[in-house]
Amino acid sequence: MIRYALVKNRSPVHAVKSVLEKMLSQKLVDAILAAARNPYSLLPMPTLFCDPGKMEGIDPLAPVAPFNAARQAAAVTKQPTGKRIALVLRPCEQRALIELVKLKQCSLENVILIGVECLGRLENQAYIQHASEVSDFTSVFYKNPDMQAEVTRACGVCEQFTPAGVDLTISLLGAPEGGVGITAETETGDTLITQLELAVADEPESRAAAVGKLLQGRIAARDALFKATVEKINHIEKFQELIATCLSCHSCRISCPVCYCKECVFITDIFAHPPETLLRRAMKRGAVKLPTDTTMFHLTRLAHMSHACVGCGHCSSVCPSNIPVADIFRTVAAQTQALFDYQPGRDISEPIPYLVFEEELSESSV
Amino acid sequence: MIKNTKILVVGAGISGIRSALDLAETGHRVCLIDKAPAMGGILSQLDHQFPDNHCGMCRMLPMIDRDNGQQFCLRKGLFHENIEILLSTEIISIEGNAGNLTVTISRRPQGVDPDRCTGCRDCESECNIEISDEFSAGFRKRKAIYLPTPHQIPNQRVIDWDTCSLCGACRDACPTGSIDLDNQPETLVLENIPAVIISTGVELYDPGHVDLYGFGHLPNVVTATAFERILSSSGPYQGRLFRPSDGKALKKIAWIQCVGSRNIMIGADYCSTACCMFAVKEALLASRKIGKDARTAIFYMDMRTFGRDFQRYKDRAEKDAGIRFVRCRVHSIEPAENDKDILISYIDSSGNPIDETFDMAVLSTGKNPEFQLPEFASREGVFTVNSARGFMDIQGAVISASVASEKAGRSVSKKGSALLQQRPEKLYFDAVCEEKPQLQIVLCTCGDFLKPVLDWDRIKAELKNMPGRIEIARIKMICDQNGWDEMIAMLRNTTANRLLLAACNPLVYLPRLKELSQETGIMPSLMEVINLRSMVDQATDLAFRTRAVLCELEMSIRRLFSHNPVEPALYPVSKSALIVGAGPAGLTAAISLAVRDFKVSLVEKTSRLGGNWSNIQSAESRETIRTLVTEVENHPLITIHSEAEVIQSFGNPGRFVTRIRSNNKDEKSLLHGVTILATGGRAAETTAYSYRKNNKITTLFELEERLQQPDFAVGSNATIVFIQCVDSREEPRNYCSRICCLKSLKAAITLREVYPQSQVYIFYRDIMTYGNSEQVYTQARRKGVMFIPYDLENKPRVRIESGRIMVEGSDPVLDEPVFFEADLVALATGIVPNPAADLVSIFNLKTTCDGFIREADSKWRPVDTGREGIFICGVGRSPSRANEAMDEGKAAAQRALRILSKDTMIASRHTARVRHVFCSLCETCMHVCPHGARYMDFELQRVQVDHAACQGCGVCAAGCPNSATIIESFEENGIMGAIEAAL
Repeated sequence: MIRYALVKNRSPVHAVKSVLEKMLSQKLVDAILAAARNPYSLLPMPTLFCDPGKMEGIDPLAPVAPFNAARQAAAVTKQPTGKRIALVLRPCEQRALIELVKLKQCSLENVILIGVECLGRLENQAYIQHASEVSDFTSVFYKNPDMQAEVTRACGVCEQFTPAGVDLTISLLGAPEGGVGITAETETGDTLITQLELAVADEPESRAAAVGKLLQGRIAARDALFKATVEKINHIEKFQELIATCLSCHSCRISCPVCYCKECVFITDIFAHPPETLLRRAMKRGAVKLPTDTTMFHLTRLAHMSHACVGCGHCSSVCPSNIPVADIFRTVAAQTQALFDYQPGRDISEPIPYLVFEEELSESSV
Repeated sequence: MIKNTKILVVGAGISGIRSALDLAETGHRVCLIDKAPAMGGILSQLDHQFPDNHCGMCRMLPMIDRDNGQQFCLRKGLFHENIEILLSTEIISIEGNAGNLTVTISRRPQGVDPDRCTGCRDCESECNIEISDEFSAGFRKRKAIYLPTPHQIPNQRVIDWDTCSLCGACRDACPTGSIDLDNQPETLVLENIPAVIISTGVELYDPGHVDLYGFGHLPNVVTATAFERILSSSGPYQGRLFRPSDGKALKKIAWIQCVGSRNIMIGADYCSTACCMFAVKEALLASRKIGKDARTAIFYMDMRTFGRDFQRYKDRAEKDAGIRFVRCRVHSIEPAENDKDILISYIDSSGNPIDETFDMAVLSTGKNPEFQLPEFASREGVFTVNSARGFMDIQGAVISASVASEKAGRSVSKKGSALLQQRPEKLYFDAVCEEKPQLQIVLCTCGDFLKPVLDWDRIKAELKNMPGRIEIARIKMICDQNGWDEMIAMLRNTTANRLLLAACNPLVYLPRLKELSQETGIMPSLMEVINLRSMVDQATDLAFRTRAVLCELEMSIRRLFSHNPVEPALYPVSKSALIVGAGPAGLTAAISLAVRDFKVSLVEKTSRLGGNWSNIQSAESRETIRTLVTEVENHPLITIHSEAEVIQSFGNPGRFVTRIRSNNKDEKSLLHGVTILATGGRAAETTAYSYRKNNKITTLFELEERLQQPDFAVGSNATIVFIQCVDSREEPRNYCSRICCLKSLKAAITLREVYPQSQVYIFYRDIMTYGNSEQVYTQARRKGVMFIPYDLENKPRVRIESGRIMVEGSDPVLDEPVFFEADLVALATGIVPNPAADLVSIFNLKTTCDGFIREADSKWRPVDTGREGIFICGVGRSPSRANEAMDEGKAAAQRALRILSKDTMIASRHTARVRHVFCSLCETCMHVCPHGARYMDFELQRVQVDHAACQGCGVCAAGCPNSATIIESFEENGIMGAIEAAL
């Protein structure tokens, strides 16, 4: 049974801030990781708070994310500290975090997951532009549907904008002016609502319709994207054309929240070709393009990570060559994930497909 | 006269291979002979084994000291340093005493010199003689010079002297002069043979002897072995299911069980044990291949699904694949109206005569009743594998082969024979590490054959151009002695530390590289051989051929240069064993190891030794168990920890540390090299059939006990009812307990003997008297015991009406209900494994859904667990009879000896290594490792490899996304380099 509490304030930003401050001041948690502006940056950065008095710039609803914060969330939960930490994450961040837990990169012991319903994020530069023009841009964004249409391409096709499997959800859709809904799915979340003395209410009637409408639009956009992208990558030559301008900067892999390797294989000795290898290649074929191994890099990343792709789109956002990396990943991921009936981040107990060995399947191939 | 101190293993089927490997792996020298020109026995003809329908024979390959042999498909051949193989060889006589036998063998020459044959098959093309090919069950023709098995390595032909006309065409066609037409058998006298193991297998029954099967004159009646060839993708129709007579696609196939078995008329008062499952497997494979139109039926008397996983397999075949199981005895097989089809006439379970037409009939032929073991098999010092006495499934054959090796090894060890110890490659290792890679390439020109067909100038020029220090030499013919000597002389003077040989078959496959290594000091792992000759044969034009050869050479060069050997890990072996459970299996294993001078700690959770056996009442069994218990109690090397349990264990093969706790809370640490789990089982409990509601309703086990009491009595006209398969062979306990049928039959016979006026009824589903225990079933029928079959839909019912026991069932023949007022009802409740969840988690093992501890592989490695150094036997693994449990105990001990017989475990060359600096500790490798050879070192925060258990399979490397784990000799650099060279 989901419990819905309504928090009203000057604006949704203030409403969320008040709840999070209360969690710290009442010592319900020892620390909160949430996005916040600081005096040096207009872009909200993941920030670890212990003092409720320092939470002035906190703004987890800001329609921007410089990167997927799952890695930062993993950094504070890698080893047990004995402290109770609340992580305020977008759905794509929280799903990536679940994948990192499965990969033993962090643990959810003593962790409270707070998910933020997310209408999408703007590209960093677009956000900075707006935020430097308007104060409290976040509130403006949620009131302005035109603004909401400016979200990144990945966000525009995201159908998982409502958090699932978290303790508390900060829900925006259908909430009355100046307020946010706080819903609890778990016992821990339920207790927190009670401890925070939030006003429990019926879920607003308009919410279901708002969610449904958004979802419908997103699914249509997603399917259109899949269709268009498949056309661009259904042959190795087309694929190579699409990624032809890759600089091998590996920004996509660095921004990828589920690419968890300590050191990517593409920067190890295995791909550090000595000059004679390069010359030999050139001699054999007459010419060789540098940097080498770019196709291999993208195909390898697809092979390694497409089952775990949460569709956050940061790979596209960071690409200096404007390669639609996220389009490729979402399109391929949809197929790999369907193949194994696997949804990254859905359930912590759902095993990663390549860790499951089914002898029965191999038997049927006789 | 040839002096020989090898143990002789006769018969190179799977039992013989198992025995030979058992002994070779424990440091004995072995001579393995077979009268056939190829190894593998019947299994070389079978592609698929249930339960996974793969072959899996390679799972018998050595997993310790892998470098002593070659890791090849075992159906292709066996290569092990300690095993000499003599084919086309038979024993003439065995003389002498146990421990010192003189064996005379006769060996027919194969006609082709393996050291020179390149496998080009020119000889075969020239041969004019064509006869029916045995391997393909007569579906194909072969020449008089031929490949006995198509997949064998090396693919060297042999001459069938019985059909060869000695015309000499093959000899003239051979480009390397490797054919010799002298066919005089050679007689060899082997002296000082310490032991002989007979593993000749049994002969199959020839159904042509009996008219009713139509075999021999109806082309669409085939044996099960022949059908296996039809199923095979290397078979006559490339695996498509066509029938021999007219090539029609098969849809409707019948299997006829018990052909030549369970037939007193022909003297076959035994069950051939393996045919039921064999037929189910074939029917399942056929149904899958045919698809939705398949209509397969198995005609049987009792479906003997007595193995732990057999019943579920059969149920799946019936429910999922729609295979029809028809209980009947077929009385004739005749041509149908369309005389290509087969008309099968039988009486169904209700007694109605039925004629049914099939596309094909498959005969499940068992052991030939006329087959007899040679006289010398009973000699002292000669050990006969049980699978040479009766037909057995793979699991049975493998276990019985290990039992024979255990007995042979035990008798030899009494004579003080010294074992070989493996030496590590360490000797020249240090030098290699310091040196820069330097490669010697030796190209064999195959006489003058390769000179005109390759562009040698280009090869030379391009090889010179390749990076790294490379020397090139050409030799005319490495395979003849001059060429070999020339090469050795050259290599002795070289400073090269890597060697690439481009030659052909004899070098690629034969274990001559080790010899070369000893002569030249180059490590075997830094040598590669490529098959120049076969590459040349494949391509047609000079430039293309040359390019192909260069490509192959460059691939090898890349691999050899990038390979940096690491010193093999050494693990000292603690020469002692921990055995958990002191039932028949555990006690037997303890004795097997103690008599070989290894210390044994025997941990038993109860206060007495003997397990379930201590409840057994029969005088004979009591005596056996008393002897065994006394022997264990008095053995100075066996320490008994009774009323104790294991609470913790860690370590690797050769060195485990286990903590045990006794019931007075004392804790103790034991250091041991191996672990054998024999945790046993117990009688299953039941509430079915009004059990415990009346003291006349008892379990079979209780009845056995009561029968021994002096005051046991039922009325002389008593009606006694046995109900078999109580709560068994149906979910959730869907397995056969193996012991109940035999126990019920024996009890029924006793009752009929003591009370001849009594009525004894047995309600059964299938009587599971496999092997020679069939005789007890025959005896029971003769004694007038009445058998009433039932199925799950029509179970018998037991009611208590004012103190009277009423049993109600239905007679399928009369199709009428039957009622008895019973004076005694015995329920065959079967057995369940003892709870082992704690042990399983302590030792990191797996269980079946019924709670039995799972073995590494039910067919090929039945007493191994997934973890090397930990073995299982007895009822804890699978339901078994006491003698079977004891055999498993011996087999487990034999497997353990592979480790205990060594002072040091030396890791093999190809094992996994973790590059810790790249490792993200995601533990993927630990999840996917099929050998449990990885563990997390929490102190160092590192994933560590247990090199003694690692088999170098590479699953970890495939799972690791950034190559933090690599396989020695398969490092990415070399592989990527080789791929690059190939592009």
